[in-house]
Amino acid sequence: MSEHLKEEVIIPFLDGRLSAAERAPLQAHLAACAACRAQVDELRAVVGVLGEWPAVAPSPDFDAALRARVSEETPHFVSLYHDLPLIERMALSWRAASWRSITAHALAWAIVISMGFWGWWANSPAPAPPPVPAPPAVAVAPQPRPTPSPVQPEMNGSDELAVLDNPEVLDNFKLLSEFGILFEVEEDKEEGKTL
Amino acid sequence: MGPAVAKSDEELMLRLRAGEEEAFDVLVAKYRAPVIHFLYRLVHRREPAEDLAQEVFLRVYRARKSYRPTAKFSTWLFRIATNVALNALRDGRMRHEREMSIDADAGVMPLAERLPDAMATAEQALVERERRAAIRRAVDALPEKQRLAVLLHKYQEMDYAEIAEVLEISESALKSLLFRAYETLRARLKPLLGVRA
Repeated sequence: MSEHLKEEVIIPFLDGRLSAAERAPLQAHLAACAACRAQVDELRAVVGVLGEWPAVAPSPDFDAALRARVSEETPHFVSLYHDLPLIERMALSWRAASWRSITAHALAWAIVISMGFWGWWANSPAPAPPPVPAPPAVAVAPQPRPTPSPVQPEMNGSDELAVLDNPEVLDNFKLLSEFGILFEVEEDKEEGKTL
Repeated sequence: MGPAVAKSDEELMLRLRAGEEEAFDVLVAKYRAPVIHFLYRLVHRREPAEDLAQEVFLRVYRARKSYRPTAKFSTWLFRIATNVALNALRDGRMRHEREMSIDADAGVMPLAERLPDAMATAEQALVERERRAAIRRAVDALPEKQRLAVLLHKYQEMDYAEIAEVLEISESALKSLLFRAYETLRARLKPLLGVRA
């Protein structure tokens, strides 16, 4: 007896999609092998039984509902765009640019440096007031030095890196340093979702 | 010349890309039923199947500007439909619908069954309903890829190359996948074989 049917030919055989040359040896085997014949007969019956599961007719208003959704598309997206925060609108605009990665990083660094400079400038000690004549000597108890605010770290004006201790600046730095990467992640997600 | 004149699906998409909105209507009219049938067999109820079908066609519409006829339109369409359905099933949106739909075919019976002729008895109707429920459960219990392969092969009657492309597997892998799926169904549906409803 010839060898049993290979699994990858059985369904094409049942579908009638084998050529005469491919079909002939299978038919010869089936004539001689009761087990394979029974298997093929049952598979044919299964395919027939599956046909008993009926389909549904589309609702008469399907097209109208779809058309309504399609017509909403453009204004929908325009309004969504304008509802976005500035940073996200910037991100959407930048997606279209092929040079976004390089420029985004350059911009991010420019902003971080500007903010660092601003932080340094804003926290620099004010110019010393003009000298005032000394009051008469009075014994004064020494006052405790005020505790610096945890939000605004004390700056001595000479350490520019100290600005990075400012949580607000750090948050912006993290956000901006990930700016370019976020676009690529978003783009990958979108490509994956499109299909 | 309008899009109603016989055109390939790919030509219609190119016309839609060029701004001919009527081309979209022609594509929807052609594929509305096959897409809904496919999604219905995945989610088991008409209303959510139609919601998903609308999402599928919306995605086609949104992609019109970037459309390139690199694959058959129907392959592309069913790949979108597959992804939309699987996303919905995985994120739980359709779980409730599927649970609700078990043995609840009454709402989707074809007209011929809703208006049984004089020979049809209540018992026959019950047997048919039980058979349909058994078939649906058996298909539903298949692994995801096998289930999709069977739906596209048996109910959409796609050719192997197209199904393989939708499922992103080779044609020979598809033939083996189909064989294993039908073998599983053969075991599960054995009580129904050879017994007509």
